[in-house]
Amino acid sequence: MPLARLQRSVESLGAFLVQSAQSSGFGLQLLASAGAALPHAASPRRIRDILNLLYTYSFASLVVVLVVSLFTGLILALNFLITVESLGQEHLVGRIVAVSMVREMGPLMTAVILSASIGCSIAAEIGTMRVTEEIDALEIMSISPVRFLVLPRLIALLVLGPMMTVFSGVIGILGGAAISYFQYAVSWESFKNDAIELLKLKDIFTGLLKSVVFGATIAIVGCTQGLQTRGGATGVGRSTRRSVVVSFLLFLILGYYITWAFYK
Amino acid sequence: MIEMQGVYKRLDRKDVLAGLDLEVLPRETLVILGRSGTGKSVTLRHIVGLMTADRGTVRVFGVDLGKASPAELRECRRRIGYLFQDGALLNWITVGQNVALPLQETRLLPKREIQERVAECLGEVELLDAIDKYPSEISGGMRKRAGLARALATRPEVVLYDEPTSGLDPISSNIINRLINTLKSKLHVTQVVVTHDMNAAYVIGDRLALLHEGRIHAIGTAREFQESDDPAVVQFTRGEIDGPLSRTAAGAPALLAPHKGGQTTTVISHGKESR
Ligand SMILES: Nc1ncnc2c1ncn2[C@@H]1O[C@H](COP(=O)(O)OP(=O)(O)OP(=O)(O)O)[C@@H](O)[C@H]1O
Ligand SMILES: [Mg+2]
Repeated sequence: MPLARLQRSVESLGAFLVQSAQSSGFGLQLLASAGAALPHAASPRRIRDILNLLYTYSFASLVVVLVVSLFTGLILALNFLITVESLGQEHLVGRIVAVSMVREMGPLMTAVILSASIGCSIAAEIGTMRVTEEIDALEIMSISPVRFLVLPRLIALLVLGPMMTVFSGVIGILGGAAISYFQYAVSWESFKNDAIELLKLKDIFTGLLKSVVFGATIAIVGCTQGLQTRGGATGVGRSTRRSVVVSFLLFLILGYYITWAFYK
Repeated sequence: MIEMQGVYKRLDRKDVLAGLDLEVLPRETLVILGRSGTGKSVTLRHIVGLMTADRGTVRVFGVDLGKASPAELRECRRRIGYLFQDGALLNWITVGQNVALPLQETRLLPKREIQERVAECLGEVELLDAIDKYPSEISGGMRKRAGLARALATRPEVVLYDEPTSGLDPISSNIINRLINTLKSKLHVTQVVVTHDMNAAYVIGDRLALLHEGRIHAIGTAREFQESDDPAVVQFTRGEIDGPLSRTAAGAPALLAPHKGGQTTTVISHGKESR
């Protein structure tokens, strides 16, 4: 009996691996064909689509990014200040908050929010189009789903990712500065000087690079899951869930490698 | 026009099409009949290259879709209109924009003619008032008619219909059936219609084909179908519960003597003779 159960779990693990490999292959292919279709993004119709998406996506995520980034900054500052209070190193709070916000937390938190709010809605939207035969209809009309659906979403997220990440960094740093000032009497001036002194161009570049990579990840994973949807409403639910889980995993893995590449 | 020869298609460990032979003649309207899940939609999908045959050939306008280049496939599809079971409209643009879509995206018509064409096509399906509505604001039947307007917008030579009248009220159904007949008589469009509506099938079909067990079991004119004594045809046209088309839940043949599934194609008559 246990043997049968073991076999079953090995089988399902195998199926999971095969499925992941297929999805990754599909995703990479999608990224390549979206890249190849890039010149088509210059048409007026596509530009309008992209602007519309940017507008919708910004509003869908702005408030959440604001709140989450503010609290991320607060938490970073507070943790540091609590830890070093007895050592009298409070003046170093600026660098800690600035560097972590810019290099790690800003890009990651933004990506998590964008994935949960926009990535999964892309998966759901395209997944629904798949199960209601709208994707097939596009293909029959010789309208490439890559050009028509994937490309605008990819570009919108390539713009939105860095934009929101910068916003998130600024808000987080302001939050950290505020709590340092109000609760630990670290002056604005010293916070700012410490932050600027330590924050290197490299940190900013790393953060922005991550935000671009994460933006592309969100779009491609969402579209991949959407296009691969099968099996009606349940299938759409499954794709939506998967898009978030897969994106999270990729943020951590890719984020780690980017940091490693720049600082090792 | 459309030729399918020995087409096999396996989906979900089941031979949905098992050596299907079917020829659609120029300018005819062929109705495909068959029970749910026998592969009628799958057959239509093969004709537009949304699915490719595991074995056998599908030729459309003389092009073998299994070997066609992307450009050839595009060219074929441009000449084909396809009505999906639920219309398959994009829900973030209006009905009018949906109908304009194939014209705009593929630049088939100059800009100023597009609006005219859209109005014309929506007029044909009596949906002109809905031109500025979004698909979510109109009923299922209206969406289907809008889908048909979109399929006709490119003025295709071949139109494929997947259950054009299911779920429609009798008046809407008649609008569509009349349109199918008009396209046939005035514009000489070649049409393949999948339907469950026997009365409509008799009205619109030059020939009827009964799909069963992955093949065309019988093909002939409405008259020949009505007069046929083939048990499967009799069962289907009369909607009888027991007969060769019936299967028990387990998939085993029903209590009645099982029909020989193998070499079934009981050709009642070839379309060429009957026309
Ligand atoms: N993409 C697919 N993947 C797997 N199986 C499929 C797929 N499309 C269809 N099938 C299977 O093929 C069989 C035939 O499906 P099809 O949609 O052609 O039936 P149909 O004759 O159109 O039925 P209905 O009248 O209900 O629309 C069904 O058993 C279905 O489960
Ligand atoms: Mg069907």
